[in-house]
Amino acid sequence: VAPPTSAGLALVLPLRRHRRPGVAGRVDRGLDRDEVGRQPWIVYEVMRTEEAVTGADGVPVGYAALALTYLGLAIVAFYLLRRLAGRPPELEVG
Amino acid sequence: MFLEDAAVAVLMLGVTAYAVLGGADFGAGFWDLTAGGARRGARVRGMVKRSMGPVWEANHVWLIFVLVIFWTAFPVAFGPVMETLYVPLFLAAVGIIFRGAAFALRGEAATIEEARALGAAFALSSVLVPFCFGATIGAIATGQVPAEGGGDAISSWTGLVPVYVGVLAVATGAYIAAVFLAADSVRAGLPDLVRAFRVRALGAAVVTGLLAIGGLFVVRDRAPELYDGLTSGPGLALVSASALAGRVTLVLVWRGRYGPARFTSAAAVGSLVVGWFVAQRPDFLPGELSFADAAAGDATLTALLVCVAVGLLILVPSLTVLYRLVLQGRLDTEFHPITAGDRGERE
Repeated sequence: VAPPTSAGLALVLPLRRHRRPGVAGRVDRGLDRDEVGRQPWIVYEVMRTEEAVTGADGVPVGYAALALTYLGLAIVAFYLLRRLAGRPPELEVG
Repeated sequence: MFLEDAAVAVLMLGVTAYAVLGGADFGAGFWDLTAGGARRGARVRGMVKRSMGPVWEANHVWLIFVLVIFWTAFPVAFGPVMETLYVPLFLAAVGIIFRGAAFALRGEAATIEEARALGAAFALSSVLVPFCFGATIGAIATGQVPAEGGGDAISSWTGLVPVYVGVLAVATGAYIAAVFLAADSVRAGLPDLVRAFRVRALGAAVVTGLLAIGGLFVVRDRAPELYDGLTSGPGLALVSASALAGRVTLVLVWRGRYGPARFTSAAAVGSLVVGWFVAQRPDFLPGELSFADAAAGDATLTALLVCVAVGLLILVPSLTVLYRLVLQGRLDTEFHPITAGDRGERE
């Protein structure tokens, strides 16, 4: 498996090692089977993951920027919702 | 061959619609950015918000449409384009997120600082996004994307032609937006704003027209094959049609006939986009990959075209109703200038 692929999987898989009970655990295991079980194929027996992965080397930077963007938006949304909740509802006139 | 041509036509329809409607949307943000200080720009900003309110989400349907057609119908080109031009495309995506969030949250600003921050995020991303899309198109048109992918992540879209097309994309959007906003101001019965947007429409028309003409010389220098396509046969017909529509718009705006000017300004920009497609054919990536070679298999194309036909049966009537209601003024809200949080203004 090409480095970018294994690096990507290595990033995701440790997060899934602890087994959660119940339905969530089953969803987890299903995902594991889908994503790990079919490796090294991205499309089973048609295309290998290493053939499909992008050659763009800025992807980790992009993911980090995207994560920061959504983190920032989450903070703003949380802050605004708190403020809205603390204010008595307005009466729409007209 | 028929299937590929039909897929090209559908892609072209999507890009043209997005260039006109999405462009108008970004252009409105451009006028927000350049409206001036908090007090001086308050009325222009209020009009921008009022005009965009009912349509701004619908206008971006076409971006999704273009992307889905692109990767489904032309997967062989989608890979290398994404791999080479991921920087401008990523910047555009982040810009769209910020723009939407800032526009939606704008009314919630409680202080002048918050209002400024949200206003700036909205207005700056309104310029960044069309520039990035334009630069992407310029990079594709000048053959910066190798068919095997892995073109330079930066220099592929920072050359003269990509930067020029990026600027042109910002300018065409601002031009259409000024015409639309002038027409909306007439409907709102606000003569000071009609005058403000009339001046902007005339200025933008002249600047965009000069840019388009000047750009032909840049293209002749840097991308001779594209230039040949734009100056012969159907490409030339479309470029001429664009120039004619631009002139008619200028006259209409000058005479204060903003309603018909909406359509002629849209035609001026739309025929430029179609002209680019025609000039580049049969190549998707010039000198590298033809539309036919970039296309998916027949089964995929057939399925896609059936889906598009069914989708358009829903989309076209919906958009027709939406735009008709807007043009009849039935979705108009009361006009409020935007200074600090417009919540404060309202009470």
